[in-house]
Amino acid sequence: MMKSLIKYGPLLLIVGLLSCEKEIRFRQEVSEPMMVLESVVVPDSTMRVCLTRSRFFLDNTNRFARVSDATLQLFVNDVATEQLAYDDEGWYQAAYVPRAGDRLRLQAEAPSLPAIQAEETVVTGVAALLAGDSTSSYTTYQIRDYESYAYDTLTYIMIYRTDGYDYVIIPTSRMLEEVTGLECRDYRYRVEFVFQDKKGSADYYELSLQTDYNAGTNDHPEFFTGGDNSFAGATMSMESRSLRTSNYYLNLDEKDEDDDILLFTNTWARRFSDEFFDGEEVKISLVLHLYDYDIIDGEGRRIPISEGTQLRLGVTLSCLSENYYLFRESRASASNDDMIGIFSEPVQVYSNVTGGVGIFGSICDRSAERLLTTPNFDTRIYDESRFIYF
Amino acid sequence: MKQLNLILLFSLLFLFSLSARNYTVSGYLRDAATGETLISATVYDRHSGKGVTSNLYGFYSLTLPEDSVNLEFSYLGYLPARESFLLDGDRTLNISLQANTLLEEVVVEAHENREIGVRGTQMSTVAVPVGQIKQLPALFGEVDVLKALQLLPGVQGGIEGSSGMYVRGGGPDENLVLLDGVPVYNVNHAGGFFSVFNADAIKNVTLYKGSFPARFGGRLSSVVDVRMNDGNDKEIHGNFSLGLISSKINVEGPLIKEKTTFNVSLRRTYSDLLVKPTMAYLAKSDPDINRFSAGYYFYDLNLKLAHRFSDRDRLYLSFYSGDDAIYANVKTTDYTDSEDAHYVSHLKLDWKWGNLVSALRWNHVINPKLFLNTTASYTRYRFSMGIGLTDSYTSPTDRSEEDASLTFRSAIEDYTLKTDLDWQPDTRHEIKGGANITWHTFRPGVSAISAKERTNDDVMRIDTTYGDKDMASLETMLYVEDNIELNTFVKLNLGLHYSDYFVSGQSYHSLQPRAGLRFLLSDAWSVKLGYARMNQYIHLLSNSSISLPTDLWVPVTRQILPMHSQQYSGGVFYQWRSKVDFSVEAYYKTMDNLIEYKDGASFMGSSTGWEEKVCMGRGWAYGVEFLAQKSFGRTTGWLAYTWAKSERLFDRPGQELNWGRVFPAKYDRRHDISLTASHKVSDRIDVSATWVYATGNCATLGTQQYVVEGETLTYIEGRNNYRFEDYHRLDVGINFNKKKKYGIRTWNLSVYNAYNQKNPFFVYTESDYDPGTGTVRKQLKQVSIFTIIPSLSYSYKF
Repeated sequence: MMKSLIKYGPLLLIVGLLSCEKEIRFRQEVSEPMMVLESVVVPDSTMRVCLTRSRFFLDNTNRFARVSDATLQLFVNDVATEQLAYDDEGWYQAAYVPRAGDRLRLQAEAPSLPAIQAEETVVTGVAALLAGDSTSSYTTYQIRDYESYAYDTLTYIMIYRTDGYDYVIIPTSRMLEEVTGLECRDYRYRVEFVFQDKKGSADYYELSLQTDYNAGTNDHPEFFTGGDNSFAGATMSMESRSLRTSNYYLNLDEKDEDDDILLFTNTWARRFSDEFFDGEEVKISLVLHLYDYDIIDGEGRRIPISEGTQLRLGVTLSCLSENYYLFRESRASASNDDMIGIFSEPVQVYSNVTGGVGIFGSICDRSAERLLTTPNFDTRIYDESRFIYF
Repeated sequence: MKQLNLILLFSLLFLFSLSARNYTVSGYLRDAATGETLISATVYDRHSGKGVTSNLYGFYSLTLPEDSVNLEFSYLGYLPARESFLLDGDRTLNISLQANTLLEEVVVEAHENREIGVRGTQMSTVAVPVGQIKQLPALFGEVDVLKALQLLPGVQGGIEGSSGMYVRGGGPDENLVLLDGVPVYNVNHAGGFFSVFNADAIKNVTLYKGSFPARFGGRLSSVVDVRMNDGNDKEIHGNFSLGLISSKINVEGPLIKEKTTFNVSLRRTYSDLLVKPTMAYLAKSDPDINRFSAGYYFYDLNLKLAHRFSDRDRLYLSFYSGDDAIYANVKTTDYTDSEDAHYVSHLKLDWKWGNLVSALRWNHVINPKLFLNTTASYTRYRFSMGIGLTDSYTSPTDRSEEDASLTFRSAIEDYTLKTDLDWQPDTRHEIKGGANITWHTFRPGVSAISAKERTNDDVMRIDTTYGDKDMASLETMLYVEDNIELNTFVKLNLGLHYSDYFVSGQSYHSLQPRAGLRFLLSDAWSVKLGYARMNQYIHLLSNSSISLPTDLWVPVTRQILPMHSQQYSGGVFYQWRSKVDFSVEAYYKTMDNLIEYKDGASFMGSSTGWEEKVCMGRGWAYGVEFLAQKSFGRTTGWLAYTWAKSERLFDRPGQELNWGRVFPAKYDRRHDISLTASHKVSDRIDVSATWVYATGNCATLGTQQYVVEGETLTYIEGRNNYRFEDYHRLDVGINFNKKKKYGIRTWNLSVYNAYNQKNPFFVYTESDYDPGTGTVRKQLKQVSIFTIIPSLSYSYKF
């Protein structure tokens, strides 16, 4: 009896606690659906607007209805310019092509929905995003701590580095029976991009990075960088991202809780304002690593499992309007909110739509890219004095 | 010219009044049975109609003209004493009052408790007799002083079951809780479900919600003044109690009869001991588990020593120590690879947090009119967390071991020196003044990480410590207040409180006027007005409504300024046949430089960058409170009703919350009703009940969903836009007392939430997807804790 009580007591307690949960009716006034406006204006590009209906949070539906019967009027610099037409793809298209500095206003009316209005000024992007100085160096070291798992024709090698870990995938046929270690060459690149901030205006930016691997030969082993199924031609890690002016330094990694984001998704973005560097020349400094690996066999020979890697590093600097900046910042906070929601207030996502919800924003992009390469196997120079042994 | 004549006339009258022959009667008021000093007991001269109350140390001083006097000494729950004589010189008169155990409702005429009753100038203040608190039904059988205060008007509890306090629209960190005059920084055990105050060690509890006397400062919303028992100076007495989750013992008595007394109380929970059999069973049933122990407990130790050198000098030592602890020790062995090779994993967890409060106090009667109290005190709250994990692998050929540990420590500690003077220069003035200097040290949080990895002969170590730097600040405070009796009908309390706070090379000053005015309309009716300005220099960084041990106190900075408030209050007071006190009070309070967390921001045990996570704004609260209180007799209790509103506005550029629009404060509640009643059926049985009803708490809930850029977002109309269902609950209790050979034993049966009301703790939305139909059903769900909870305890008083 006592044993049963001890055994099932905690279970009964849990059941008892769970019974304290019940479904309740939402007793407050059920809010009416609102018109949702979505439009992000790019200077000198055609403008389009999406109108949808919001839904009550307890509605048992998974879709959001488009509003196709709205009267949507565009005002440019307070002058009624045109009424936007609804197209087959669910967008309202404007004939007018907005220019940087235009003050736009949208007014929409639709049956059974409150009328909405939103205003936005079309942003002016930075003049140019230029490639700045770049430097590179490399270090070679041996890795003794690794694990390999063979699955059919592929072998996974899990490599523990000091700054993280990699999975290297090679054909099982190439995996030597007698492996005494791995050798890693760590190529470190410092890459800079430069832009000139506009003086006298509050500017908001979003810096995003894109990476694209280009493996050398077809029989090159593939590298698996993280924990999902995105294969890449080499492994890389980002050491730091920062902004620098003559008297200001901003570490863009501060908010980065998980540095693997770039590795997982090949995209990364951070937003910032020019509050502390208004009108200055700004250098975007990126420090990243590419890694090549060799297998060391029982006789001390090095057999390459990767070589001649190329990485295209794309950088996009978007100039955002204040509205769009606030929207994206708050939306990002709201997305992260799930992790800590029980300890924090839910995030109210920014909206500049009066009478409804959504965003009428503006963005202007400037892009630049660099191609980073590691040397081919036959051109490598082994410098034993620079080896680091663990 | 007319004004000059008036000034001359008043000056002459004043000089004349000073030149009249006055003498002073002074002394201590005590309980005749225990020798315990009586706080706020009344001394009243029927002949002149003058009177005073005893101070916090039981001392009184009444200055009267040379004449025959007819003094009456009275205290709630005691039989009054009378003394008549010709006052022709200063006289010391120590009076011992007999407790009224007859349960007769002795009528003491309407001059009781002159500081806060109908006749006193103090308003927005409630004293709850500890005996009455002890009679209330209790959660898990554990009587809680702070939970009893939640039943008073103007005081709201936080979440279900917690002892959090929200006074007149203020936040939980705006309450100054004093134990024998020393601040206690963390007043909660077990996440706030119990307070640190053991009712057995407590003599007196007074709550100030507004019209604060000038001697108090440092918090915006309330002062809870808790005083510990000095100890019986005649013989040893005590009591012990055994409950379902805790036990406690209290012993008091003389070390040197009628000179030195002690009072010691100890309380400890034993849920950790109760779960030990379950742990042992689990460890036994799984061969992989070598060791398995885990638990939680808290304890409180109160100690007070008092020594009387003479009628003029007394020395007191107050000490409190209380800790909460969570621990775990789990060791497992895994032989999954082979019999020769095995993994051993060992997890050790050790969390501790608690307060230490100590005070050395010297009372000195300089002369019959002048009483000096000097206190040196130390208070500290600290939190420490240790987690250790050891994994080892042993096989005939290999041996590896990984050892990692994390420790985190934070603390706040104060050293204080203060002195208070009570001076009664004549029959019209009761002057108090004093100074206080406090050295605060904030240790916001230091983490130490160490790791060791050993593979055969290779060893790798990491040992690092990081965290925020200690911060120190100096707080200085001066005050003076005068309780002035202008005439029989009008009494005035004027005070001035000055504080200076020096931190990080920056000094903040504040001059805070305080005023109270009483119009005595008749012996039973009075009208009072009050004003108080308060400043607060520290903030509590807290994750949530639950009190967590990781909550951190931090000082103001250059960026985050001191909070300040102004409160205006007015009320009507009535005493019915000297038995029941009625009051209706209205208040309006404005608060500035309040802080709130930004949307999505939270505090996770480190103060780093906290200034970036909060916004500064302002708030205001107003309401009406009604209280009917019967404190003595066979039936006691009170009925409290509050209508209140508390709002916030955060609209400073860059610090907007809720789009810069007004929103309700977290614990804004429109209606709050509490009804408590205790009735002594006979010497053997007494019963009690408490019923509470309150408007539901606020929460933020997005009620519309929409899609932008392919992402589904939630539209939140405003902060705290949703209200939980109304809260109500009935608690009942019954005591069965029996006189035994050496004392009285009591069985207490309490039922918390007797009609099993499922009150909201939190709500959430849940979506059920039906793959058959491809439809989704969304529901709003409410989680409740603390449904009906019966408890039983046994106590013995000897």
